[in-house]
Amino acid sequence: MRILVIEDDPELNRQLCEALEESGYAVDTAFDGEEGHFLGDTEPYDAVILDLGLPRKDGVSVLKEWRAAGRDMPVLILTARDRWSDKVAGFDAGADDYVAKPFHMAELLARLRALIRRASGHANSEITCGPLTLDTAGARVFKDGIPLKLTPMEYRLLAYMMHHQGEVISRTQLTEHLYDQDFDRDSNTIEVMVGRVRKKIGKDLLQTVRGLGYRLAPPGGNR
Amino acid sequence: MLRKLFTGSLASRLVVASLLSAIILLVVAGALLSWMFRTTLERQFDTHLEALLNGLLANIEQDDRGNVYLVRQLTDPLFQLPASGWYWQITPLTSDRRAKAEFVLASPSLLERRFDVNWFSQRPRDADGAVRITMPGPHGKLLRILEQRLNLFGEKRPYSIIVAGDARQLRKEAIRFENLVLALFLLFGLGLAITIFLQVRFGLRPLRLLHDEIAEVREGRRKFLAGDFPREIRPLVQELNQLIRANRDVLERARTQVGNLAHALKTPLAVLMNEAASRDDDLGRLLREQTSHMRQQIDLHLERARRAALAGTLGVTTPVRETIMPIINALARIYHEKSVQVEVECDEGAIFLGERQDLEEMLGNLLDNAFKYGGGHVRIACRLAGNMLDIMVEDDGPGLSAEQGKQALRRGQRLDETTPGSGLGLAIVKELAGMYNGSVNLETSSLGGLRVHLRLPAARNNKR
Repeated sequence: MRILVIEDDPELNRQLCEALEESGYAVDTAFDGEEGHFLGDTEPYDAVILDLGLPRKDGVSVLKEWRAAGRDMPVLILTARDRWSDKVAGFDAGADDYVAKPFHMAELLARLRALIRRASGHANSEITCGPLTLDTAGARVFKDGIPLKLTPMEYRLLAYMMHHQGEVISRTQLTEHLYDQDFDRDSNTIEVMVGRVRKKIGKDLLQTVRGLGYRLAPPGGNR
Repeated sequence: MLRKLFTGSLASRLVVASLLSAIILLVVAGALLSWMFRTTLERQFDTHLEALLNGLLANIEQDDRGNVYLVRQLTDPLFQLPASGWYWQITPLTSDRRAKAEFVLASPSLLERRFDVNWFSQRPRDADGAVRITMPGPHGKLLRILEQRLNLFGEKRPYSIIVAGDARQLRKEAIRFENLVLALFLLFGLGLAITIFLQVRFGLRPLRLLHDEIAEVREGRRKFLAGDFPREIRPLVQELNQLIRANRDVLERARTQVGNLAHALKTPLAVLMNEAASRDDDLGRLLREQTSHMRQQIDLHLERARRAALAGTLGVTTPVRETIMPIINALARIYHEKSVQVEVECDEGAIFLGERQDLEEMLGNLLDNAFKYGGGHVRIACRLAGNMLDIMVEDDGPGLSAEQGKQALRRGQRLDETTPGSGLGLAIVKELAGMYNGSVNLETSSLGGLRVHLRLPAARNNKR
């Protein structure tokens, strides 16, 4: 899961970044509206945390332009303006959720998880696939009720595959959603990682679709 | 006292000044008029005396010894009546203009008294050489006297001829006229005073209008002075409007700055709170305590700034339905997982007499509660009842007991610490409604949960 954080306060930006990475997300950051708008316009993100009071271009304009251009990733607005008139304006611009500053990090993370789940069509906070269970809140994966020991990158990969189970995910797509912008991308690492994950969860669940990519599906069915 | 009369009121200043000048003018005019009347009377009397004098001259002759004698008595019997006040006297003078008393000829009315001719010699004479004077005569009566010096019968020595008449009548007539003038001018002055008073009232009416409009501006019933003012005070009105505008701008800026400051503080506050949350030592506890205190302060001052914003925004209207729908859309996204069913019944033409932001704040808080605590069924109805709006927000949640309800309407109370958000927001709704002279009541809904009854002032429909 790759998240874009657009927040002009460097300290808060850093805290958000740390908390998100701790929860297993790949995080890109932007410190002003123009940079944020550009990133959101060109990179595929699974969710965006957007401050409204931004230098160079305000958050509502950024959001409106994304929506007008057909970018439909879930956007969570994070702002000091907490009157209902501000909220209504934010949702009107196309926001999916709204958190007012000052906030509790745990609450923000919970809202973000719900947003991502909703976007991929899962209603529950737990996502299952055959014997696997993804606990998004705890950033853990269970197999038959026993937690798997995963590195952060392996968790990211498995979590992304479980959100998109049944779909064929290309290697490029995986790279884009697992690594942040600054990461030195090398498709071989994906292959190595898929191999390691497959060893931990069992061969049948994570299949290679030749020439196209990978697919996570419960055994005995495509769904 | 007099000073206060002058500085205390423009009207009394004008009235007093006009009255004073009117009184002075009237007194002068009255005096002048009676003086003119008196002189005219005297001139008439003098003319009569002259005619008598001429008649007298026509009736005298000189005998062989050079003494003057009367040929015929004058026709007026008053000259015969003793001490009647009507007299004549002819006195021959010596060459040094002194009277020769032994040859004096006089009217019988004088009896044995005589005028002192020598006294007349010292009097200033009119252009025709006569002395005209009003003074008490030989018998104590007030007389009008005409004394003329003439050379008679071709003699070198002049004669002094005096004709005098009773001047009391003259005086009486003058006094009667003066009384009439006084009465007339008093009446005239009274009329003038009333006119001045009315004039001042009429003339100063634009000022009173200005006063009324300024009061309306202060009470927020109008934004600017807009009356049709006369040219003389129009610059003042324009200056006042500028002042009002400047004042409003300053207020607006101050308000925005308070808002901006409070909002700007929220980000560093969020940073501190996050930092504090990750530490379990004394510093972390201290930070948590202080940040929560700071947060309350910020909220308090933001609310004050908002309340200040309410002053001067009267006359603004907001349609209710158009305000409800975006809020429901927003809430539907926030509570996506709950799939809440919403019924909206809103009278056409239900328009709130107040700021959109405030209606949004009230409805947002109430609907948020209904979405949050309800079991998935929310109903909002808005009815127009006279000049008030009845807005009902209902849900099928657990509702509130009477005690809980009382607590929820109190400031800063939070019933449910586990659900995120800053309290129920009912206290905010109550405060806002109160500012608009509305009310909030908590009731039980037919849906089973809480029903909040919000009463707010409605705008008249035709008023846009």
